[in-house]
Amino acid sequence: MTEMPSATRLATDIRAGRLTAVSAVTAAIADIEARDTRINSVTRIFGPGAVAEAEKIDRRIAAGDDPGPLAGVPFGVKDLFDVAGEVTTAGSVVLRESRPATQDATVVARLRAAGAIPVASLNMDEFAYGFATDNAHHGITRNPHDPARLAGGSSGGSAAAVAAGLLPFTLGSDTNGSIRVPASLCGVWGLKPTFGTVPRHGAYPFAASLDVVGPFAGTLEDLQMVYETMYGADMPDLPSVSTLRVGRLGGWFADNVSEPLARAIDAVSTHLGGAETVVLPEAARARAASFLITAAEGGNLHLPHLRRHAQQYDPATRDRLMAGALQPAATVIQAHRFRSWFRAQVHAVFRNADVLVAPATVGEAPRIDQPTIMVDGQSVSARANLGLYTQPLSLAGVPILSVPLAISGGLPLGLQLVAAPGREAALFAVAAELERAGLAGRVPLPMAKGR
Amino acid sequence: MSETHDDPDRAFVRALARDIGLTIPEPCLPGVMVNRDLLRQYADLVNGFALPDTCEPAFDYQP
Repeated sequence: MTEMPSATRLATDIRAGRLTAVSAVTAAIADIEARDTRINSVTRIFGPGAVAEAEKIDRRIAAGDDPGPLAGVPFGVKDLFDVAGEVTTAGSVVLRESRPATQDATVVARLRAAGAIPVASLNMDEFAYGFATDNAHHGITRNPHDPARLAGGSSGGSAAAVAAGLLPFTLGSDTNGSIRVPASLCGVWGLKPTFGTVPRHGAYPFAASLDVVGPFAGTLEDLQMVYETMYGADMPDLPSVSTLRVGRLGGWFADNVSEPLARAIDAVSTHLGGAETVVLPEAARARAASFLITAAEGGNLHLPHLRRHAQQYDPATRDRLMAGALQPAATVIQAHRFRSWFRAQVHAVFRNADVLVAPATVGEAPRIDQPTIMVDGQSVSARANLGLYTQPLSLAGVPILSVPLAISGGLPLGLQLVAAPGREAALFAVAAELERAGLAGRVPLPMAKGR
Repeated sequence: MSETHDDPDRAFVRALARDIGLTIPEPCLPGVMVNRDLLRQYADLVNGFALPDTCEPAFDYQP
């Protein structure tokens, strides 16, 4: 089976008449059916609807019409985005009996208007609460680089489907790191745009104060095109990297990093001009505040369901949501006040830097049979702690591009490139430079047995 | 188990849940309490930070 080409290349071939949208979509579906059993990234295939959509695209092209820059490109959505005619379950049986969505989520509609075709929904931690994509109802999503390891979460199906070459791009959501963690562990590109700038309408919420939707892609070029389509406008021209002040986050973000990842960050920093170390104050409290706000808002959101049918939830999700709902108001308000304080610290840091480099996780994907990571010399739960470096930055709401480091051998490792609000263009400029220098890029799969 | 003979922490969590109209099934209680303890550790971190009286909650957050 040949691997899925990039979205850009597929669309070019389809618009030029060298390939039909129907053949692209049916090939993607056949590939999912043949190969996804190994990793379990897909929960549902939108077969008839996707093929009908592809036929429309082909008819438009035959009539001389241009269906858009993503003409005929198949993509997948984390199972919390509304797709017209489908039930949005957010990875849970709790919503299984809900009515099908009457319209697409805004970002899905924008992608469809650009010619892209949703073909599948993708696995996730139930209601996006976790970093493992270990779903009691749909099973665990395995890392395509080593099926004995976690793909990360909560958008693990979205990252794994791209890493496996099943789909050129996918959609996910990120509340505490749910795009950045799986992108990093699966070795693909991911973007958490600036909080509040990409519409969330039609995406099932988790914690409204923190939720952001964004793309995964196998190439940086695709990531940019999909992001701009989701955002609804092109970015300004990318700045020259030589004009950007690049720093490296120290302190909290330098502790607990694995040796190979620390070496990779050294290499990236050296290439970017010896990035000066920058310390973001009170990162541990920022992570705590993000945890508390998430738990409280998630708990409140689910309270009506928890009152009626708690036993339908994944036990791990249910217990966390119930505990979150019990938090005292004083604590939640303090977390929101701390957020205001932290915002000022983040803005102060960006007065002297344009892009900051930080690890995305402490190291490579943990094993499924030993789902732990080492933090401060202690073995702790991966499901709860893989967001060690992502959660403090979630609180700030800044844009973050998850960069797959070009690794020769071994498992994928990822970086976070962080910019001031609205400065996504600076992130893409630095990422492109790292790609050009051979330091970043989607990590190829090993020659896996049984592929 | 009667609440009068219940562990005080369990009884407290049940009472908190009652205040928001939630009944926590007995088998769920240990898991809820573990998670509540974890959240309390995070709460101690955040509540232990002195903020100026003028620092307002970021309910409508603009990055």
